[in-house]
Amino acid sequence: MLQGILIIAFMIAIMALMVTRKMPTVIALFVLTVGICLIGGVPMIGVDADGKQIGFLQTVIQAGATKLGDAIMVSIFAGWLGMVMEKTQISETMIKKGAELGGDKTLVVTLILFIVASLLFTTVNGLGTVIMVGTIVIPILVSVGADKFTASAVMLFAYCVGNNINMSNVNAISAVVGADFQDVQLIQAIGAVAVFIVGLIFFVVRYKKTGKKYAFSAPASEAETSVYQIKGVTGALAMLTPIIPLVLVIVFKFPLIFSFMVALVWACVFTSWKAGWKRSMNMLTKTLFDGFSATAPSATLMIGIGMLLNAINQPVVKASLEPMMRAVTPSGTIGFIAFFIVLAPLCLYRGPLNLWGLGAGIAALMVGLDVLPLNAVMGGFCAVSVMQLLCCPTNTHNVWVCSYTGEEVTSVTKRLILWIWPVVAILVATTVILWM
Amino acid sequence: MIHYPFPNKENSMQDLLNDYVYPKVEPDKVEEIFEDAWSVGLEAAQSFLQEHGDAPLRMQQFLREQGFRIQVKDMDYVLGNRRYFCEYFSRQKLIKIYSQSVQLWCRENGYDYDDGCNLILCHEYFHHLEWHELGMTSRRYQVPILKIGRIRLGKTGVPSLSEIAANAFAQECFANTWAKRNDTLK
Repeated sequence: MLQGILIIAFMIAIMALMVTRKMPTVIALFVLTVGICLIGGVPMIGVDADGKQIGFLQTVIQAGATKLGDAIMVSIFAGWLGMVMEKTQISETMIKKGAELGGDKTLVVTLILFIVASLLFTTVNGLGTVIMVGTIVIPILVSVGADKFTASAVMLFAYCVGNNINMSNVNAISAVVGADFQDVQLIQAIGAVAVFIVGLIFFVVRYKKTGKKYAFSAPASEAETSVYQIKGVTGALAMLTPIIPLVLVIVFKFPLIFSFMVALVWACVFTSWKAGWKRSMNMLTKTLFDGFSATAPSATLMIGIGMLLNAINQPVVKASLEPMMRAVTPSGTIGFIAFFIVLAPLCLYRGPLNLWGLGAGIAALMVGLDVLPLNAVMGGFCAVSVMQLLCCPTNTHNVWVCSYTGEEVTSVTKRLILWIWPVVAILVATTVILWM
Repeated sequence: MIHYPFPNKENSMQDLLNDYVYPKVEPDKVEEIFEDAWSVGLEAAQSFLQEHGDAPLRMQQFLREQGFRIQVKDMDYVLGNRRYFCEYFSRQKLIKIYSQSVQLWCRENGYDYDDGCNLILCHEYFHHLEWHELGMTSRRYQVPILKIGRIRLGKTGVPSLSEIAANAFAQECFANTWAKRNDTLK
């Protein structure tokens, strides 16, 4: 019992360091892992009677680092595709075509770019791609008459919608919680639809309130020219790139990495013929390295989460935390609904319901208790993750979007949180209907 | 090259050429719709100046009297590839002036800050007029929302036409103010 209290106290201390930004999450996860093992009494090195490794250096650090290897690889290939879409101007053209459709109707442009950005985020992931999409979408929105807050909200809502469908993300959640890919995909897709509808309502209400914004403005620098031209039929086909992996996985049940590779080839075939063979090969190589670099933050996070999961699942750690977890884990339907809806904001600031931090460990403990069905735990965490994706001021994408538009990140959180809370409630209710 | 445009005809034409919907404008209509938008701004300015009388144009004071909220932000506001000097929010009667951007504009165009502000506020005031009284200049010429071969779906306006008219309005008001000032000096 004492060990359990000490582990919880240690978790809270590390969480405080994350919230106060004294320690980045990736480092905090490594510290948390080692601390939990040491407090829990897991030996550093050792073998059991059967000769099986039981020391945490082997079972937690070494095995944990590769536990989510599959999800990491998928995110790297998704990152590569994202970079190819950026380099070949597919993303930029899609966004500009969207703006072209809206003309002088600010609300229509806002809604179209919301849809286009959401579509892009279903395939691309990570801060690098948020920057890539944001640096095109935000200036267009502001130039056609949206205010800075609305432009920020378009990016955040779009990321939230897209990320819910993003297969690399679905795969990672499935790996972290241990739930079936299809089940995660189902609840995430429902979440995406709900966030999308709330986003539409939000932008209509916002436009009614602020109206169109006009500006006296001028270009700040000369526009760059590119060798990649997205025009005509080939251009239209190139712009289908982001939905290629979705179709291959959902309709044809192809594996994720192969689907991303097909999309890579597709993008190259319809954009690079004018650029030539050598330039295209150079572009592919460079975007591969850039894709690695763009996915590095989420990949390192997944390495840390893998270790944390293995640490929490050590028998001695599990045994010491079980009494406390049993006390707080809801067992009935009403308790489950109240727990995930009322406590949803605990997913913010890398809190205990954030699957990409402490929440990974909490989810693992909840699953281990066997009080709730596995999919109920998964559904609960997926429900609160929409709030985290849209609002958490510690998300790198929130920080970047707000600093780019000049909005205050916590003020954006406060202004958006009430909009997303009903979506959390819908997803918790859906989880109950589907799996409890 | 960094641009600090004076809202004259030449720069206004650039606004139209850089418009996202420009590719959908029929080539033989470009000159016509440009002149039409410019004349809308010009006529609005003449009517406004007539109403305003002989008193020198002090836009900040005038707009405040009209119930506008004017916020002056001490910053050079660059977002993406655009520098913003001033913004007008149509449903809130709110104007934001980015003073450091305006100072850059004034320095480049050889005006003092007050004159520069006056001209820019004239530009924004035209948007207020078109939103609340005149009707949207951007809708005077419409392009199809979707154009696939011969198929055309929906209609939407050309945003830069509003800017062209606002530029004409601002330039006319500005020219009038300078003419009056020169008369006074004589």
